[in-house]
Amino acid sequence: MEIRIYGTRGSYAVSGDTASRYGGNTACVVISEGNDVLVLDGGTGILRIPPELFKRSHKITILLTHLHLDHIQGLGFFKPMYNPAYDIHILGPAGYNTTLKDRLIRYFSPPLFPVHFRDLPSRIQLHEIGHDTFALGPFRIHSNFICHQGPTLAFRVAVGNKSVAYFPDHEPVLVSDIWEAGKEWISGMDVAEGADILIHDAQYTSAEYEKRQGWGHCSQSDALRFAAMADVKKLLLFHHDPDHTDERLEEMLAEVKKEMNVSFPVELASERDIYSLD
Amino acid sequence: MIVRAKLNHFGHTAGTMESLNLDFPLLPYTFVTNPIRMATQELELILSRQLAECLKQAMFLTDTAGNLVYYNEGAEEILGQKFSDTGPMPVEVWATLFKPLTLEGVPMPPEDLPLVCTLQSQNPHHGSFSIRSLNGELYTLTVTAIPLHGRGNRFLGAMALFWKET
Repeated sequence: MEIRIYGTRGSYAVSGDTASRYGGNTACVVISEGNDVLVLDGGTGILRIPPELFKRSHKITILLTHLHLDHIQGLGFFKPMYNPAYDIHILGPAGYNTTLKDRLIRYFSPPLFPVHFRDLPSRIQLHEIGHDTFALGPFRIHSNFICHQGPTLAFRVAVGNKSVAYFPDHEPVLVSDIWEAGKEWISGMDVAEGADILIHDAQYTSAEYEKRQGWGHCSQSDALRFAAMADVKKLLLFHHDPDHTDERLEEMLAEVKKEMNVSFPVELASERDIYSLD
Repeated sequence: MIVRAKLNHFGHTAGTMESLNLDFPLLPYTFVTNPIRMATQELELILSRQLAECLKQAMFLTDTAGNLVYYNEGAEEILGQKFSDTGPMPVEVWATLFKPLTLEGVPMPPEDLPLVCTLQSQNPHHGSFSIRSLNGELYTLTVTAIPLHGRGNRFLGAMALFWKET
């Protein structure tokens, strides 16, 4: 299983020298096993995926964690959406009273976007998922709702005995005492536990988080604490705040590693990253 | 065709499969035996507990079977027990711990408690009853019990908020 990071940024895309090391595109990760490919989220990073990845089958499967703009903005400009030769399957959460299609159409319609969803020439099928366990080709997938603004999923993708857990937007605890309540009471723990790689929201410093509690994101230290509780083997910090430069991200990582002595490797996710799990 | 395993609220496969009968020729879903290493509570219960942790007023949180999965510090006074000591309690235990009386002083069967009514009917219930405090004083409690219906209209349990009448 190979994991390629195509977009790491949270909230909105950034560009320029200060985002050149870790990337400025919003959330998108590709997981592949042989010729089978899963795309996680459709942020602007999806536009960096090499077209040859799909040309062989002309079939694309996209799993959306939620429908905030930084996770779907790239879909409108994703070339296969405009190619009638492509079959595109989009899996994601429905709303409380609205379908996945209705929620996607809000973006794919004027004035937000010039092209109506119904006019996209590719063959698109939407599949609503929630707290589910299913398989897609070689991938075993477990999804569950996690704490964020609006219906939001985390995914665990496994091939054989290797797994990656994807939590781009997550606020594991809103009340600090909950950490003591045990794993059963921590949002998303069933998805993350024991993963070989955990890709997790780490948008803020602890000081920044204090002013943004309830916004649906977390501090780097909470990400480390969640990862330690989940007993993961490696943590990739993700959803970098657009206001944080490459240099600042590295300072933050050094600070949190000093503050929290964890036994597993912790890295900043970068758009150039490729990880192999065999 | 998509075949999806449905999970019960403890996160385990419930033993049923739902065929969604959708054309999905790329990578057909197949049933997967439970790969989950552990169970977590449903998110709606997790968030309700976090609310309870922040409230001064007493709050009970139960699952669908009536198990008291959490009670906060305010509720510890009513039960005369600490959650850290008891952990979760089945309905047969918690509903008799505080020996409720009607306002006329007649012993009240557990099934008449608003929270138990809510669990049975999945509708809100409201009511008052008397209990005796740990120091023997009789006082009136008013309770509002609310069913928790999560996404997909799944019934997940109930919460009850208590007011001590003065």
